[in-house]
Order: sequence, then structure tokens, then C-alpha cells
Amino acid sequence: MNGIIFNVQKFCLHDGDGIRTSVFLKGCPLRCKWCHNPESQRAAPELMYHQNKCTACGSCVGVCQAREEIVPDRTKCVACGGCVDICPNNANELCGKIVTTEEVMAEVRKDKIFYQTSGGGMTVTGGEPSAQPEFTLSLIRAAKNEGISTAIETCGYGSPDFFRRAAELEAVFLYDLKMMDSDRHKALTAVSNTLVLDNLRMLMNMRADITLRLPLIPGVNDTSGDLSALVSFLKENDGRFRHAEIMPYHTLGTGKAAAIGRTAAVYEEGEKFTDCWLKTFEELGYKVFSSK
Amino acid sequence: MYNFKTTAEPFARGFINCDSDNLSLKTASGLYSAAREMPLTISTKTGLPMAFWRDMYVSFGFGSGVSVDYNGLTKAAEHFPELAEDFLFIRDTMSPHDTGNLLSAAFDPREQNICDSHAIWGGTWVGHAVPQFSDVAKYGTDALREKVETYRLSNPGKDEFYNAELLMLDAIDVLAERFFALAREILASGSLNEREQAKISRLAEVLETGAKKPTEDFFTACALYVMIFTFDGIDSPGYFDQYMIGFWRKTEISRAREALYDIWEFFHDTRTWNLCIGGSDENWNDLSNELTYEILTTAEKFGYQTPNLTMRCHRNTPEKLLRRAAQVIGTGIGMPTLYNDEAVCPALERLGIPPKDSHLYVMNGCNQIDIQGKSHMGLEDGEVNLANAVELVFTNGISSTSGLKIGLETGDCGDFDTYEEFYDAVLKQLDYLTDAAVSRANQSQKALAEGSPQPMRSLFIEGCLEKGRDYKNSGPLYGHGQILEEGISVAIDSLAAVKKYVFEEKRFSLRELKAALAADYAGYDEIYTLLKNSPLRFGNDIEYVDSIGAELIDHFNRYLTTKKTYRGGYYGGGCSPFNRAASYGRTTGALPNGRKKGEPLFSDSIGALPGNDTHGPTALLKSCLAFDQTLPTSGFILNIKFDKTLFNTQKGQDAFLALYRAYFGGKGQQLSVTVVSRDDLLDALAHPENHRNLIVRVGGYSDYFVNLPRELQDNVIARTSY
Repeated sequence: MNGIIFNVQKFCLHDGDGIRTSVFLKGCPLRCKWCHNPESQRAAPELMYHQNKCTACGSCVGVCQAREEIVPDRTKCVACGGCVDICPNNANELCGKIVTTEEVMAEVRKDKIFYQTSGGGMTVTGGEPSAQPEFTLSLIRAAKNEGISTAIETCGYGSPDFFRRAAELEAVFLYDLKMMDSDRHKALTAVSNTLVLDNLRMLMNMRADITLRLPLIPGVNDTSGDLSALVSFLKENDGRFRHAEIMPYHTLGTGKAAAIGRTAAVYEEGEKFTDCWLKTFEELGYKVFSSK
Repeated sequence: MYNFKTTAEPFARGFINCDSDNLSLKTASGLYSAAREMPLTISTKTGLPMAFWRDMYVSFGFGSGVSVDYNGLTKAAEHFPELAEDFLFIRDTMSPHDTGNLLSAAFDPREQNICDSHAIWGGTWVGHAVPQFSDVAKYGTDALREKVETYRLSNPGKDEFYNAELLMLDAIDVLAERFFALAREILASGSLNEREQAKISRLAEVLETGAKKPTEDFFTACALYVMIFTFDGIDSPGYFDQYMIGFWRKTEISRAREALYDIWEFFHDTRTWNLCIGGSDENWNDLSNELTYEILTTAEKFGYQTPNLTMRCHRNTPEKLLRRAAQVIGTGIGMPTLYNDEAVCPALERLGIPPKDSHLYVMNGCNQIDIQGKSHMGLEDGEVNLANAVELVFTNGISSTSGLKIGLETGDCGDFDTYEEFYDAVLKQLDYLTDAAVSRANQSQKALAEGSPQPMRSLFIEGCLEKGRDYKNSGPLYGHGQILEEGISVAIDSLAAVKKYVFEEKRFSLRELKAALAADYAGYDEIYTLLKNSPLRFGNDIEYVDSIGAELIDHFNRYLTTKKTYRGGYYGGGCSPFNRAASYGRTTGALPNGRKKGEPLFSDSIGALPGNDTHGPTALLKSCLAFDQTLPTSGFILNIKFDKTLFNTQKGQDAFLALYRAYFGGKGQQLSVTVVSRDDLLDALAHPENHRNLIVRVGGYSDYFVNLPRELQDNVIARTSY
């Protein structure tokens, strides 16, 4: 089975229990304005041009149809990779590679001894795992056959059939809840949250292992109304998930957005609001944690 | 008998005026004379008695044997003409016994070129051990006298040796008496404040009865230990929690704790080497006790870099102890260093040491392995630079930095048709260098066995009294040896590059590569760029590279176990670069891993070259597990670094323990964990290529520090407090 990924990262400590290897899938149906992996949104391979590594030597111009000058014209780039090979400074990078399930597993299984001693495993993330449903399920199945557990980081916007089958394979869910208000959800992520909530309820009914992730972006989705709405939902479903973690917004994605030729919306750094948010949740009647 | 006018140089006078040719007896006479007359110090800070060797041109220490300051004595003769005859006589009579002179005379010139080119060294370090000095407190010198007499009876014809040993016990008694007198003198001087008064009184009280009878008091045991330890030259305390626990339990806790803090300060001030805690017995029962935890707390409280605290771990190490050790590591002192009984004990047993003794192993020096109170094996007998073995195949045996012939003529490597031919030549060069290091080490051992006895140590290392043989002359039960291996990852990466790019992908020929290396890559840009950017680096869990590494290292470690030491044992390998990692780079030419001549890019342990391990700690540990780590009999060091903030969270501690369990479970031998400080982060800013693997906490997750945008790096740095 083939899929498209853009990274495999080892020794991940914040993507589920224990020590994990995270497999980053390329492609996501959402377009969250605060996304810190903007290079994961489009499903096709794309060029990342790192200006900070470029010495303007011009080697790339000669081999590239999208370059009359050093900064590429994104409308003409076909992600052929020619500029990647020729650049002496590794300033060009092709983000996104087609791989087979076995190629991924060959990397994932290398750290099996660490999964065993830490209660860790594989995490499928991205991008959005449910956007490549068969590939993701084949990874979960392959991992399971080797005694490796899988966690899925997901926004929940995918086919219910995928989520059901993943839960049947005993995948563990790290599930985003970005916004309870459906209209504002659509304005900020490009999709409504109906499907997201339906899938979540289905998983809770199936008694799947769920940790809720609440990305909080200062001034965007942390109004008292937003937080109250979240608290209502959490209270209503208390006991049907492990716990909820707030994820304060950070600016790490902005450099990567530039590298793929986009400008990212920039918001205020979230970390300094962490304690205040945690207190607010508690005052509103539901204790949440920060993802530390 | 020479009639000396000078009252200086007690060791030399005692040695010279000993009425015997027997070197053990002469040395013991010198030591006794020094004990009787050398200036003594009692610390007003710790209240401990310290017999430092100072103000002498002829001195003695465990690591130097007899040491003669030739120029100093010559100058002294000029400055004190009325004593000139004495000084010159001392100089000329003692110089032949100077260890450096003994060794120079002993070394075969055939290996000189190899040493001068720094491809090896051998036999120049007299060596660490861990004598059981605590026997004095446990038994008293009277009982030890009886022990000497008992063994004298079963070893007829060795009276001079045993008389030398009795003299050493006399030296200990005389030191105790003199320290008692000195303590009284200081107390009477009235120059002390209240705290100092209490410290010195405490010492006077316990030394009043001298060292002849056993004691149960922890402070007394520490005092007597320090007295002999300083007289011996300040080596390694060994497994302090094991041999001191008896005294600890019989002493009132606040008195015992105060003494522990005092001796800790002493160990720190004197830059004492390795102090070891924990471990298992031959049935894998855990040996940790309350003193183990007290020592960890003490190390944490003081935060000192010395003594070098090491902890032995095994399948039954209590979780509580591991977590406590992890907490201490997290404070940033980089200690305790962890050793794995599950790898070390089998390695020692391979040498013929039975489990009841292999489980008594301790660390001494930086990281060498020894058997407490029973061996003379935990010293670096020599070392081989593996990278030179690769280089010599390209240069047909000539060092590219010294120009001297130091290796074999394995032929023009341009003629080799297969990787197997090339690798075979590398092994031949490696074995040749190893033989040279072993030969050198054995020449040294012979010279020291014949000319440099150490009667004090012979008292406290099992086997010496039993056989009637000195510590340096095959007395100890175990006389194995250690030849260390350096430049491991450079050699591995170079072999991988040759195998892949020359023989598999045929990007260029071996002849071309040879020319490129000879030119230090000048004019060979394409080859240089390819090799420099090669992803085939050790430390990234790449089977292709790691399997090459395992074959090479296992070959070296296995080859050594066939080589005998002069001391009556076998050699084993290890990796403990101390401060030599950078200097080896300067004397190694260009290599196929894309390294230019002289570049100091040497790994400081068995791990990857700085910056080469870019796949995280799990990949690094997996690569190191490719080696058979039940082969090296000396410390097989692996340094790993973590960000301080990450390490000290629950997640970080859990993750670290999981890494430890997997690595030691896979029979990794050793882990040296450092937790990075702000200065390291600042260096990572300036030299990211050396810190590509550093992981830090950011917001709610961890990422590679060098990949962060600058503003965030500043933020992380600002956050780190150290």
C-alpha cells in the first residue's frame, strides 16, 4: 500500500504515551489559519526553499523552469527536485515522498525496544491520517501485527468508516477539538465541525481510548464563550475520554510557511496564557491539563 | 650508610640508607622515613588528616612510582652549597630509580615511530587500582601484622618482602601518631574559631588510640582512610557504600553524615577519581544500601564535578534508586555515570574471573574497570587510534602527519579489486598497531615489575601477601590489562564510505580516493562534497554502517583477549578518551569520511562524531548496541546529552529511564548522561553543526534546538537557568 508522507521522526515524547516514532502524512482537508505544519496541508509533494541557507549562487536557476531569479515562481514549480540535487547548501528541499507501508514500518520497527520499555509506539499524524484512510489503516494493522501500538493525531474530519475501523484495530486517538461553534469553526478551518463531533461521539460510544486536544490561539478561540462551550461539551462527556489537554499556540510554523511560498497568519504566542487558561477552565467547572 | 647533613628528602634518605639491595625493602624504608618526617596537614575545613607529598625533589606516588626532579636537585645544590654534596648524591643515586628513566630504558626503539606519530601509546601510565585501605579501620594494624606473619610462614625465602610490608604498617602507625600530635598542637595554638576547634578536636579524640586496633566509628574510618589515601597519592575510593556501610550503621547518624560531607569536600578538593555505588552480587541480589542513597544526596547537595560518581546497575536495581539517580543527573552535574553489571560481569568472566569476584568490579580513574582490592588491571595500559589503521592502508604504512613508517606495507591499495581485500588490509594494519601497543605495555610492565615496587599497595590488594609478591610484580589475584580504542566512528564511517562509493556504486576508484586523501582533498571537490555529505554515518541506526562497525570493533576487542599481559592476565578493550579525543585528530591525515587532515573531529566516546547523529538518542543507542558490549573489559563510554528542562519533567525522566532500560537491557555497557546548560545552548547557536542532535522543550513539545527559528532559540536560552 502506498501513501505520501513528509517526515518520520523518532523519540517523540508528546504524541502519545512513552517514546514514539511519529509518521507525518501529507495532506489535510482543513486549512486552519494557525497551522504550525503548513507544509502538511497540500497532499502533493512541494518545494521548500530555505532562504536562510541560500547563498544566491544561482545554480538552481539553470536547471529550473520556475526560476528566472532565485526565489521560485510557485505557479510554475512542478516539484521535480532538480534544484534539490544541485544546491550546494541544501537550501532546497522536496517535502513529500511516496512510500509503501513496509518502507515506513522498516523505520518504525527500529525503535521497538524503546516502545517496549516506555509503553510507546507509533503515532500517525500529519497532515491528517483520515485523509489517507487505507494507508493509515494498513500502517496500524502492520504495527499491530508486530506488537506495536498506534496513536492517531486527528482533527476528526474524515469518513466515519475510517474511524470505526481504526478503533476496532485498537488505535489510540489524540483528537482535536478546535471550536464548538460550527460557523466560526468553518471560518477558521474551512470546514464545519459537524462531522468532527459525530465521529467523536461514535468513538466515545465505542469506548475508544481518546485524549482530547484543545488548541488555543489567543484572541481567536479563547473567548469566554468559546471556553464555556468547550466546558459544556467536556462535562457532558466526562468519563468517555481520558482527559483534555490545552495546546497553546506557538509560532514555529511561520518559518515553514515562508519556505513553501506562503504567508502565515501570525497570532500571539500562547504559552504565557497557559496558567490563566487552566485557571479559567477550572473556574468554569472542568479541569484540563497542559500538554507538558 | 651515608651520613646526610640535610634534613630534607626523607624518602630518598630512607631509600638510600636501607641496608639491603631488595627494592621492596628500600622503597618501604623510603616510605617509612617519609611518613616519619614529611610535613603533615590537617584541614581546618574538614578536620581530616592529609599526608600530601610536597617539598621533596624525590617523591613517591601510585601513579608515578619514584619520581626524581633532576633539575630541581641540581639547582638546590647550587643554592645550598653546604648541602650540595647531599643533593647531588641523592640526585645521582635515585635517578636510575625514576620511573620515567626506567621506562625509557625499557622501551624498544622499534615501536618509537608509531608512538611518536600518535597512532598508539603504551605503557607510559603506571596505573590506577583500588586498594582496600579501609582494612586498617576494620582490623587495625596489629591484626594486619599478624596477617603478614601468617603469610610469611607459607612463603619462605621472602623475608625482605614481608619486612617491607611490616614497615608499611609501621608507617601507618607513625602517621597516626604524628597526626594526633599535630592535632593537639593546633588546638593548643588557640588560632581556631569554634567550628574549626570542633573539627580538629574530633580528630584528636579518635587518633588518641592510634591505628593499631579496629574501630566501628564511621568518622574514624574516614580519617584513617584519608590518611593512607593521601599518602598513596590520591587515586579512586572504589565502592565506598559497600566497604563503609558497617561503620555507617554503628555510628550516630548526624556524626556519620557530617563525616560523609567532610570526606566529600576532601574528595572534591583533591580531585579524587572514581567513587562507585550500587551493584549486584553473583546471584544478582541488589547491593545498594542506605549509604548509597546518602551518597547520591551528598553529590546532589554539593554539585561538585569530583569525585567522579558512578553507579552500577543490573536487572534488580530498585526503581526507587534509578529514579533518584535520574534526579541527581537532572541537576546538571552529569553524574552518576551508569554501568551495567549485565555487560561488564560477563566481559570480566571471559578473562577467567569467577562471578563472585566479577561482581566486585568498580570503576577507577576516569572510567576503567577494576576488581576492588583484588586486582591491578584497571588502568590504561595503552591505546590504538583505529582511524590510523584505515589511513595506513592508503599510505602503505606511512604516517601522513609524521612521514614515518609506522605500519605494514599492505601494498598499493589502488590495486585492490574488492572491498574484502581493502578491509582485510585494514585489519592487518590494526592488528599490527595493536601488537605494538601490547608490546610496549608489556615492556613497561616488566620494567616496573623489576624496578618499581609499591609496598603500601601490596598490603591492601589480595594476592600480594598470599604469594609474597609485590603489587607491580604479579602479586594481585588479577593482573589483566586494558588497551583502549579511539577514533571508532571515524574508522567506521570511512569504511562505509569506501564500501559504498568505491566498490558498490563505483563513483570513483580506490586509486582516485587514495590520491584525493594524499592531496588532503585539494583539487578533488566532487569527491570531497560527496563524502562530506554522505548520510552513511555511525550513530543513526543504519544497518549498513552499524554492521561494518560491529565487525571492526568486535574484531579489535576479541583480538585483545588473546594477548597476555606481563602481569599474568589477558588484555581487553575499552573506550575512555579522557582528554585525548581532540589531539588524535591533529595527528591523523585525511580520511574517506570526508574529514581533512588534522581536523579534530573525533567522537569523545563510542558514539557518533559531534553533529553526525541526527536521528535522535534512540538511533544513537541502537547503533551502539550493534557492538558486542560483553567484550570490552574497560569502560566502553557512551556520552549522551539532554536538555535540562525536558529532562526534569516527569515525561523526560520517564523517557530517560525507558532509554536506559532498553540500552542496558540490550547489554549496553555504560551511559554518561549530561544535561545541557545555557552555555551549551549558546555554543549550539554559534556552532549548530556540533549540536544537531540536541533536543529541547518548546511550548508543549520537543524539537531539535538547531532547527528552531532564531527568536525561539533565544527564548529557549533565556529560559534555561544554570
